[in-house]
Amino acid sequence: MSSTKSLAPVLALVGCTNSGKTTIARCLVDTIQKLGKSAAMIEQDDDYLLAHQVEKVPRKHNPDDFYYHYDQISALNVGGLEKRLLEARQKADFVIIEGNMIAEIKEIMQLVDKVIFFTIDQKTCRRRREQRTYDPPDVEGYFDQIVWPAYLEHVRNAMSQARLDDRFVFVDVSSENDKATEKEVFEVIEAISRDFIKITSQTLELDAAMKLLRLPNCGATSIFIGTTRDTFDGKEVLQLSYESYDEMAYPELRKLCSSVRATFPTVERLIVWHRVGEVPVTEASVIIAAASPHRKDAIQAVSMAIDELKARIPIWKKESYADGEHSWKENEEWKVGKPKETSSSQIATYTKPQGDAKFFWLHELIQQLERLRKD
Amino acid sequence: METIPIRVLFFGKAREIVKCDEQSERVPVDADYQRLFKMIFEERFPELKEIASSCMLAVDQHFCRPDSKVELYPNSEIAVIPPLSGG
Repeated sequence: MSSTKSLAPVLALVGCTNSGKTTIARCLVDTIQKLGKSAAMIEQDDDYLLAHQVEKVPRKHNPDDFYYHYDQISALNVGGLEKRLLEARQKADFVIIEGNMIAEIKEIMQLVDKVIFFTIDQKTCRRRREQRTYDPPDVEGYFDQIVWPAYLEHVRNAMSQARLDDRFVFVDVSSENDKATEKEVFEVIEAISRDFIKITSQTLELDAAMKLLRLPNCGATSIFIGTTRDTFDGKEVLQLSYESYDEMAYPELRKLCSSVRATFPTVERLIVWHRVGEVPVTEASVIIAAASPHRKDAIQAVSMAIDELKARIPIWKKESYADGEHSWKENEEWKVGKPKETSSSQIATYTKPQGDAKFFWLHELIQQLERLRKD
Repeated sequence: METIPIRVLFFGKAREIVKCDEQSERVPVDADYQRLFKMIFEERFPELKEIASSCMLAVDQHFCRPDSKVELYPNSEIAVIPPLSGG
């Protein structure tokens, strides 16, 4: 009965054009249906306004000509999109909404439980964009003047929102190949369901971390909490602040989780949270935690993760002292061996639960969403 | 030589020295790491020279080494990475 049915959880798939959002959304809908539940999919692109209602932007190299600017919210019928989402939430068991601007539409974000933001590098995006035909077709220069700058803006907005909003998850899907297989789709779902990454300006809460680590088959949970200190070399530290290159730190953190997982495959859950901005003395700047069936792997995984974080995650700490001086710190781990060249990010999966992995991880994702609902 | 627009990003101490987060520049499309390094630390932002030896560059969010092959596109992001201090 629709009157007694609770509102369906809403998962938003957001991110770059050609990141594979739609393919992933369809694959999820399909699999949810195989679990015997109903899933609705809503595509932002079905709610574009007609061309004559879309803003025209003069072309850089030919000001007499113009582009229709489709990569901004004013090109959408937001009311229509919201209406479809509200209806779907009443009817289906699960709702997936996808589109490159969803995270910036306030009305929609009020209804969303979790946002998966797919990032890709320009090389991948450009190659894929060239292979597809668009309606209206891409005119020359549209990618350089509109598409890519708009994407960079969307990423920056999402990452700055994420500093205050725990619903955001980032996953980099840059790849040499252009057709994601179902297996790859579920590797993404697995990665975001077992590795929890966060760069936040909010207080890091250990309780919240513990909730994510509680698993019936894990007898060991290891936790490292880095807290800020009040002295350095005998000088009184008044204030500490961190800054992060989020666009790089998120994919690097994802890679870090993958390499920890490759080294300690029994680790079931991994948390890497970093606080940025001002962090008052005695408060946590970082929480790293791992859960595994037995203690050794959990302990060593945490140790490896913090060493790797200090060596290669683009985050910087400034200490301000009582004598008016300040200094930018330098991690020993960085001095010993600067990071090697990095390629496109890879998501590694190592353990397969009993039964079909894809159902397992989808189920896990749904459970996490439902738990969010209850909290 | 064909040049393309790129963005140079500054963090931590580098940002403090140049007093800005980001600058737009034009570079030859086939510039390699050495060329980018020289352009940033010697030609465009010589005030960064004092920290040059401890810095790295990241191109489009990937760490690069002096022998890395660099692929540049319009609006590519070149980040000046001073010594890290997260954690």
